[in-house]
Formats: sequence, C-alpha cells, structure tokens
Amino acid sequence: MASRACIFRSVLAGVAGIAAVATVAPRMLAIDPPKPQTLAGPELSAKEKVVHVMNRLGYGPRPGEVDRVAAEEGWEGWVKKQLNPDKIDDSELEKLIHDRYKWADQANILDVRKFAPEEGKGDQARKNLKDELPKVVLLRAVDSKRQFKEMMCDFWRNHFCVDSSEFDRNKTRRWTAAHYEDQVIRKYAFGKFKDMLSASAHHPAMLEYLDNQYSKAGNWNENYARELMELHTLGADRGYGNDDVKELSKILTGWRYNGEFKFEFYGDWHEPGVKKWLGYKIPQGYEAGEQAITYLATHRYTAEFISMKLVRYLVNDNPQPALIKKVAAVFKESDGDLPKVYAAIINSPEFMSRENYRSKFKTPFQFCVSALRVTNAKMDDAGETDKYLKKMGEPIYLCPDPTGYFDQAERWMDAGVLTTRWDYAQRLLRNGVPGAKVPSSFMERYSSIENHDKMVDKISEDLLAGEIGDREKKIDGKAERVIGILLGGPSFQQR
Amino acid sequence: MSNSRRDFIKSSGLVVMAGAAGFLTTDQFAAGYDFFGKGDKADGKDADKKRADRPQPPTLVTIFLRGGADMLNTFVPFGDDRYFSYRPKLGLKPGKSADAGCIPILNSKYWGINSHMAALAPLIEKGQCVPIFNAGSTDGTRSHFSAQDYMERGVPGDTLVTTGWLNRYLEATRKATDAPLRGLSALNLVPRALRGNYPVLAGNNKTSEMDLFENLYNTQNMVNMTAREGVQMEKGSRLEDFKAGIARTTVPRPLNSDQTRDIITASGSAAIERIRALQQADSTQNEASYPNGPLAGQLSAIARVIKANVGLEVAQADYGGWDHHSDEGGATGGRMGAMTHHLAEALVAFHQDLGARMDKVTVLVMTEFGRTVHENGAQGTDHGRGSYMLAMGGAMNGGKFYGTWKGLEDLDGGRFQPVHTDFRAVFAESLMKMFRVDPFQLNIFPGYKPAATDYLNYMKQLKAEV
Repeated sequence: MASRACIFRSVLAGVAGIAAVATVAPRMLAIDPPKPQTLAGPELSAKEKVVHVMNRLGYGPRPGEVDRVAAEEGWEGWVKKQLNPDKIDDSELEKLIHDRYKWADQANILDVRKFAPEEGKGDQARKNLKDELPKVVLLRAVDSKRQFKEMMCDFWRNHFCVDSSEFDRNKTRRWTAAHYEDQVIRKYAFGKFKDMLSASAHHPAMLEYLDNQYSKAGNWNENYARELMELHTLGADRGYGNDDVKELSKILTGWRYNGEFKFEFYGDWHEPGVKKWLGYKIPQGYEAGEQAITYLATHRYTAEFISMKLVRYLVNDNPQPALIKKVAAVFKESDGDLPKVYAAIINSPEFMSRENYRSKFKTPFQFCVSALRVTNAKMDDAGETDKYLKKMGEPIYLCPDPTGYFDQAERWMDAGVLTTRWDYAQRLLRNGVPGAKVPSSFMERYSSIENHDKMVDKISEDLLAGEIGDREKKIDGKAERVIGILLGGPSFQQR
Repeated sequence: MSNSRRDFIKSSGLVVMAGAAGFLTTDQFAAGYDFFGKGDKADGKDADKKRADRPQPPTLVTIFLRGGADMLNTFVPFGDDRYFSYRPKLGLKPGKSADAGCIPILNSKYWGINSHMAALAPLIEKGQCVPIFNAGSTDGTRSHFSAQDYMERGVPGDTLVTTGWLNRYLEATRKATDAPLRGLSALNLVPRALRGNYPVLAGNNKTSEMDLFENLYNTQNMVNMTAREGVQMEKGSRLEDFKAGIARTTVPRPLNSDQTRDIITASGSAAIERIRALQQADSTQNEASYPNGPLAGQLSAIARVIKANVGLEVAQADYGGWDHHSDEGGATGGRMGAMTHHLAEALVAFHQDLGARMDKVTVLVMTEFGRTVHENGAQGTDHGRGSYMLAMGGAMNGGKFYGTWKGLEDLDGGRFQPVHTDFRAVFAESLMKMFRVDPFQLNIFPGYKPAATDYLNYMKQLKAEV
C-alpha cells in the first residue's frame, strides 16, 4: 500500500488534476447568452405526482395502482420505499426465479463444474445461462416490487455495456454475462460508483468484450482503455488525448481472466517501464492500474458525466446544466454514493416540474415492460418479448456498441419501431405473445361494462390515469381491441 | 464560427414537425404526380402503368462498414515491401492461384484486392467500381462512436449540427410534391446519416389496424401544429454533446409533454405513409441471386424499392463487425476474409439485379476510420486514421484508383494511414453529379469550403431528366 500512496499522492491532492495537465482542452462553444430553464406551468397534482414517479422511477403502474398509492402512501412514501430496495420484500419473485432458472444461485456461476457437476452438462448449463439471462432481466423488470432498482439496473447495464455475443460461440461473455448482471450491475446499482467500475474492470465479460484480455506488452490493445475514459468515466474528449488512451492501455496490460474465469494479473503480459498518462508518471505493476481506475472513478469530470447521464435518464432528454451541477456536487461529496445521487435528482424541483411531466418517450424495453405490467400479464417465459425487442432494435444483452442503448427519444423515434409497438400491443391483448398471458380477470374488469363509453373511461383511468387523447377515446369494438390499440396509441408511448 | 454556419444552425432549429406536411400521400403519388415537376397527372386506372413509365430518379445507396474496416487487407499494396514487414502474419501475398492472398487488379504490379473479394474484381476492371484510397475524416478521433457520428452527420469535429448529411440533402430539396419515399433505411432503425427533419422510413414493418392507427397518429391531432422556435426534433442529446452542454452557455430547450406527443404523432403519421409506399415494392422481384448474410438482405430490399419506382433517392445499409482487434485472419481468411467476401458478393448481386438501372444508381461504401498498419499481438489491428471508400455504379470514371497514395512511408504518427481525401469531397461530388444540386449553396456541409482540386472527379454527371 505504500507504493499506492506515493504514486497518486499528487494526483489526489487536487480534483482538477487532469484539467491542469491536459494536452487537449475541452472545446469551448459559447455562442449566445444563457437562457436559464424556467420551471413553467402549474404544480403537478397529487395524482399526477404518483403517475410521474411510477412512470419515471419504475416501468409504470399496474391497473388501478395509481389510485391505491395516491390514497395510501402518496408519491413521497412510494419513493422513500423504492430508494431502499433491500427493505422491500420481493422473496416471492426471487423464489420463482431460482426455481425456474436453476443457475440463478449466482454465487458459483463462473464455476460451471459446481452447478452442473454431471459429466457433459457444462455446455448445456452455459447455453442456459445465455438463453435465460434476457428472460430473467425481463421478468424482474415486469414483476419486481423493487421497480426503481430495476429501472436503475437498466441504466447501468447500458452504461457498463457488455453484450452476450450473439454470433461467436467461443466467447466467454455469452455465459459469463449472467454473472456480470448479478455481481457487477445488480450488486452495486445501489452502492458506490467506484465499486461498480472496479467490478466491471475485473470481470471476464468486460475483459473480453473490450479486448483487454488480448492486450499484451508490446502489442497493447486500446479498446478498453479508450472506452474506460470515454464511456465509463470522464466522457468523450474530456481533457485527454490519444496518447493518454495508449498509455492507459499499457498500464492495464496483463489484466486478464484465467482458465477458471477468475481475474488474474499476468505479469508476463504487462508492459514494463514508466508510462506517461495525463501528465503523470505511472510506474509498472498491477497496483498502478488499480489506482488509475480509482483516479478515474473519483475525478470531477466523471462526477459531471455520470450526473449528466442520470439526469438525462430520469428527468429530460436535454439535461439542464444547473441541475447537472447540483447533482455532480452530491456525487463528489458523497464519493459516488449512488442512492444519494439518485435522491438528489428525485428531490430536485426540476424532477417534479410540469415541464418534465410525461416529456419522455418510452424506449422499446420500457414500452414492452409497461404494457406487460399494465395488463397484469402472467409471465411464464419472456423469450418472445425479447424477440420483439430485437425487432425494435433493443434486444437484452445484445447491444452491439459499447455505448449501450440510448434512452433518448431521438434514437427510438423511428417509423419501423413504432409500427412494431402497434403489432406487439395488439398481439399481447389477443394472447398472441407466447409466454405472456393476459389473465381473464383483467379482461373481465372491462368486458363486463356494457356501456362502451364507460368501458373506455374505465380503461383510460386504470391504464393511463385518464390521460388519453380525444381520438383515442373513440376507439370502438370490444375491450380487448380497445386496449390493444390504446397501448399502441401515442399516449401510452409517453412517460 | 462562420456566419453561414451560425445561420444554418439557427434555421435548422425552426422546424419541429417532421412528418406534418410536404409530401404526397401514396394515393396522390400513385395517381401520377410527377416528382420531377412535369405535372403529368394520370387518373387512378393507369396509375401503376404511369408509375412504371415514370423516369427513375437517381438513387444514392450508402453502405456503412461499422467498426473501422482495414484498407490494407482489402486493397493490398503488395508492391510495397514494408507491407509485409508491418504485417508478417496478416500480410496477403499476390498470386493467381486460388490460395493466393490477393489478386492484382487493373494490371497493377503494386495493388491487389483481397482474394476473398475476387467476385468484385471484374466490376473494377470494367470501370463500374472505383476504390478511393486514404479517405476519411479531418477529425483525428479514434473512437468508433465519435468517428461514425461525424461521418454520418458530415461535419467532422462539430457537435452542433445534429442532423445527417443525407437528411439535409432531402430537407434542402423538399417540395410539396415530393414522392412519399425519398429516403429509406434498410435497417429497423434510421441511421444517423438519414436522421433529421425530413421523415425517413426504416425497415418494412406492417401491422394490422393500419387505418385506425392512421387516425390516432393523424397530424391534425397534434397539440400545436405550428413550429416552435428554439425546438427541433433532432437535438444535440448524444454523448458528445455533453461536453458542449457543459462548456457552452446555451443548450437545446427540453421538450415538454405536448411537444413530445406532437413528435410521436408526426413520427407515426410519417410511418404510415411510407409503409404504404413501400408496400408497392412487394410486387417487384430480385433478378439476381444474393448470398446469405447481413448486407445482402438489405441490398436486395433496397433494389426492390428502386425497381418499384416510388421515388427513392437515398438509402443506407449497414454492415457492422469490422473492428478486428484480434483474429483478423491473413491468407487463411479469418474474420476479414469472410466479411470482405460477403461485401463483394452482395455488391455484385446488387449490381446484377439492377442491370441497366445501375446507370442512375451510385453505391458509396464507407467506414469510420482505418486500422494501424502494424498488426498487433492478437493477429488483429487497432484503430487507425485513413481507410478506403468504394464507389460503384454506371456513371463511374472507372478503370483507375482514386485518392492520394505515397507508399507506406507516408504514415500519420508512424502507425496510421494518413487521410488525404476528406470524405465530404466524395459525398459532395455524388450529390452534385447525381442530383444536379450545389451542396454548398444548400449548406449541406456546413463549414466546408473545398477547392475545385479537392474533388476526385470519380464519377460523371448524370443526365438531366427530360
């Protein structure tokens, strides 16, 4: 530990470390005088606030759930619970998952011999890990009572994106992604940012996905080093240059997983000598890599970058600098304590403002999950829904870019994606999505109402808190048809 | 920033509603509106015949090779000894036998084409396909994400212009009598190059209850039909804009609920019109046999839409997976061999399928950057700078190589091929010669002022429609 202290003493002395020595300064693009965002419009009603938190911090309400929450705990009570996911009893769902997917006893997942001890069962076990991971992800998103946790897991899944390599059967991450989901994403989504970053850096799925596994002295591979700075911590072109990418890749040579899929530092693969990174002299050895990662995790730019992404995810596609600054300050002060950062966003006036109410467009994943929730669909198998997600460009654990899937409307506002939503909604209501069954008890709530207008009113209240358009009110036909089309209509695409 | 740039950004911020107006409905179009302004209306009965008789518009098809495709193992400078010392394992040796690494082209004693692409060689020999060497971006980023984005937006190093260059072409030439399907993405999503204010269809998705959804997604139903100043559909909200968002003093205004809803409505409405136009391609057939694979499927779909003659002017296909940090494969093939093979076979099938129609079609193949000239320890290559582009069609000034090549001693930073041809020069030439527009007058490449000598003159001017 003595060496650790001396390498980075000067670095950690000042948060502006990188900026002071940067060879590439962030470009200044000042054009016009500032126009601060006004929090225009009347305050949200108590009911609207409940709708807002359930749509933004979760995948939308169950039928009638808005009224129940409004009457019982209010939006503040709901948020308070959701910020402490471990205190919410979700044992029923977890038991179901563990019964249905035997491997979901996650601790020994990397050692296939332990959880599939019989001769020749290993390959099948690995195949199951790959095939069943998207189903578990979807099942939790739909049925977990820890809705906000599931929402944030999706954020981090995309931030620290790995894919489960659809085409290359030899890739380790095809099956280790299941362990990554559990031991990197879920484990730290309500912990510290730096711990999640560190866990991802040591995980076989990430080591392989961004090629650090193949990075060797004299032939270093820049992929991981680049994305570590650009996507995971500092942000694009923020105070570092291509030489810094090269040097960081040298610092991290030898970070690999071994034959047992455990992290191991391969000294023979490590680039010897001192590296010049961000203006600092970094000695050789494993510890230097650890400290480089810690340095990135605690940098001011990282606090800003992660805060920007979180505000964009939870508040508005065009995050406002003033709120980002406030949140970044909390990130920095709390040493990246994520629940505190989330709370800073949720408790801001901007989060609950009229301007930001229903201002986001659902991603395909959010759309499918919210449709399954609002119809009380019984989930036996989420595989078919994942196929629809593939058609809409967002299959689970298969994002081809290390950026992860985007959550902004712009990325998903495509004609083809919308029409697939219409198709999915109608099929779901006709019970044409295998594995997801809309229960008859749900249909009877509406089909039993004889007056058509009253039926549509009830559907509108239950499913969309009454917020539907005039033309949507005039959809004719039976309940099944009305709901199927309403879920494909413009109102249900907003959150 | 220049004034013209600033004006451009300002003006592009004014139009909110992409699909609200400004194109013909499928019925009008089928009834014979002419997208070249000849006004030859026909009544419904012989609309199909009219459509078939209507002159085919020029179509520019872009193919994006995502991941940074390696030029040196695609077009191989085997005449430069340094090539084999940079690539002891990956180097492709020339020869005529089937197991040679590369095949000399255009009687060159220096250049060969990867032998897995043998199918494409005859098109190069016949002048239907031209390689462009050391092309790329003036911005030095080696992030896939930034480099692809800069290239598709047509503004290297600039994060303020958020629309794609192909969409800006469509938008700048928009008329009330536009055909319903001027732009198409062969994927389920619209790629960046085609994103912007002009509505472009992605994929071919049908659904039941189309009439009902048409009613729900009717633009008459929008909360605010008029444009809102300062708000646009395409806003800088991607990752790089973060740096701008912090550094600059104005950021795009957030969208509120009504604006979001309007955009959703407009998007759905545009989808329906375009799907109806696209359905007309269902009656056309491919007249070539395409290989199985990701690119061929997209190209065969685009070919059928061109044959349906519904006014298609720009289309993009994507072919990802070129980021060969490891196992690139030399003479043994490997990932590079399989992928270049599919690329060549798909291009040849497309060319054959369209036959005489290729006279009005140009295919541009591009990638975000090239690779290191040295192979790495995993028998792969890392991110570089310059790479190649390919142009294919009936109007090529074919039979030679384009771009500037000064041998492998001409390196950027000792490790990369330099960029001698700005990709915008290649893009701009295609627009000028195919569509007879002045891209600079239309400000399709904001901030770009090429000299006449910057153009490669790789293609001929298409004849004007009579």
